[in-house]
Amino acid sequence: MEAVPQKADSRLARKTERIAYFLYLIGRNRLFMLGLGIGAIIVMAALFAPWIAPYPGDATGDINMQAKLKPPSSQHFMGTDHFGRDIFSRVLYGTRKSLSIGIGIVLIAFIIGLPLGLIAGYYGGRIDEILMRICDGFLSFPVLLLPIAIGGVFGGSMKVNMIGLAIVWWPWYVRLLRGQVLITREQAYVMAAKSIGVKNTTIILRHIIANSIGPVLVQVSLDLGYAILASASLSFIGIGAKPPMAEWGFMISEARPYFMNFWWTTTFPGLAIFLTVFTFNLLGDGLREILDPKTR
Amino acid sequence: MVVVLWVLTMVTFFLTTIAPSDPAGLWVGPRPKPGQLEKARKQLGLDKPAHVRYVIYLKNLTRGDFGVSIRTRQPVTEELKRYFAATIELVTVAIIISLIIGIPLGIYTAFRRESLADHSGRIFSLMGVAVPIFWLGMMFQLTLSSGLKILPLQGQISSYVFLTSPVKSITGFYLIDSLVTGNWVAFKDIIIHMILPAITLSFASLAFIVRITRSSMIEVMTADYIRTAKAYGLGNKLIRYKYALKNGLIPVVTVTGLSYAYELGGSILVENIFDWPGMGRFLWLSIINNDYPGIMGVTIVFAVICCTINLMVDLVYALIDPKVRIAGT
Repeated sequence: MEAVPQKADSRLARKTERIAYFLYLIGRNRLFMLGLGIGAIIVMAALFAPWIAPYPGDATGDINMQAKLKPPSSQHFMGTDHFGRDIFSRVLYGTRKSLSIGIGIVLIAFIIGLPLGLIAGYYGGRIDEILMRICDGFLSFPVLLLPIAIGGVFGGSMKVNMIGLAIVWWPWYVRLLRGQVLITREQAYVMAAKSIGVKNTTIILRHIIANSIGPVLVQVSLDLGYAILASASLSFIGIGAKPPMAEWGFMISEARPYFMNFWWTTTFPGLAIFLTVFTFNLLGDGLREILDPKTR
Repeated sequence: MVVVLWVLTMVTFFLTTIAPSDPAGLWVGPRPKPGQLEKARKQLGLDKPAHVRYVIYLKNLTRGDFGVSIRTRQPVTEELKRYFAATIELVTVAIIISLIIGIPLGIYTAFRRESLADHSGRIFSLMGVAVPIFWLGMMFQLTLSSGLKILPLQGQISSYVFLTSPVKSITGFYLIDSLVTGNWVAFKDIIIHMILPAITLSFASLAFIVRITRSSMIEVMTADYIRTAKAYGLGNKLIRYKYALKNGLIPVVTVTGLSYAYELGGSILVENIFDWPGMGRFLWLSIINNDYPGIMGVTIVFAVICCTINLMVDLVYALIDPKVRIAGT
């Protein structure tokens, strides 16, 4: 009787040990920690934008023509744009827009890509063949092309921007996950599960997903950045944000006639995009290193 | 490949048919006279059922007819012919730049793993892919063109050079034409105009190329035949640059193909910034004017270019990698 709690104890101890080791790996990865730090600031900025922003109204449609195109000062930390709107406030609000769009694109793509990748990898055969051809078709074109065609027809709105990008994004997950599943499928424990008559769906849910999702998660964190970048690019060429929306790509596009003489109008929104995408890159790259046993 | 293109025509056609705004309405402009709308509809063939129109559309496409641009009222094919060379020229030069910088950088960091150069190279490439290239282009304009006045702001050629020593059109590619005709004034001017857009565009794939080259070289260096060569006592330089490089650069071929597609997408942004008279700028103008035939025309041409590049990559692969040839794929 005494052996049972002891066993549970040691299992618990092993679990805490594993978590501690994982935390150690994370802590050791300086770039990942840097990414976490900046990431936390960005998320805070998005969450608390209405309270941090000195002029919250400027992000939603206020116009102060008497204060237009003022250089950075103590009142306007990043200067003002051609409508006299505080660029710092607008950049802060843009964080909300960009983060939610980025998450939206990746989430939709992931929800479509996950089941298709599992099916293609696990069952193989003709269904795999067809899915891969479709994916190849999508992947051989410039990412922005189809969203532009869609946006050109339906008119630019943030919804079109997001859906358009999600439509071209999911094949990446299918392909990546399929590759992982192909490896996992051949593992001894999957064979064992099959040999004792476990149902396919149970094998997929219990074993395949858990053991092949790692690289996909890395890709997800990298893609959050790329999706934000792509979405801002689309907004820049006129598919996405509409005035007076505070969206980074759109802010840059709006400031184009003025930026030669008023550098702050484009510099800060661009830096915001850069910093956000860079942060997700740091996180994704760090995660890859943490999850990859080869680099330990 | 043909299937992919065929599906794409379905998509573009489908998009134009379900478009919420009426092309005939756009064609005649606001406040049409009675009867004018019906006439335009007939003229544009919109009175026929969708499947008939699709067949006509496909027939026209195979003849290279993309319809008439609503914005300029010119055949889209004519417009694209004018802009095609400028885009291809820009993207090709950008690819060459990113290969020239990217491959040596990748090799260099691969041989100095975990060194300072390697780490800074990694951070650089993480930063490189995070830069919005449309913003980077504007920053270049702000500092190098407008601030320091070293390089021209935009365009493909200065207007006075264009007037005083015009480039005779042979191939349509400005660089080649001016070189062949010995028009050095124009050649130099074109090169100067090309520097900023090409460098901006090359940023789109530079980091990617560095990364792939590095990991591929590292992998090759652990191969058995390299160990054999080392055991045999061959010099480090010989092993690295003669034996390892050959196999290490194979994935770079794929990456170049992918980069081409990627930079073609980037050209939409960069041509817009630098006022480069190419298809990307035409596409942008079509977008802001709701010009579907223009948008779909560029979409299809871009897709055809990408398919061609992919095909070329496959062929080059078969040529340089005997494994592919034997497998017969």
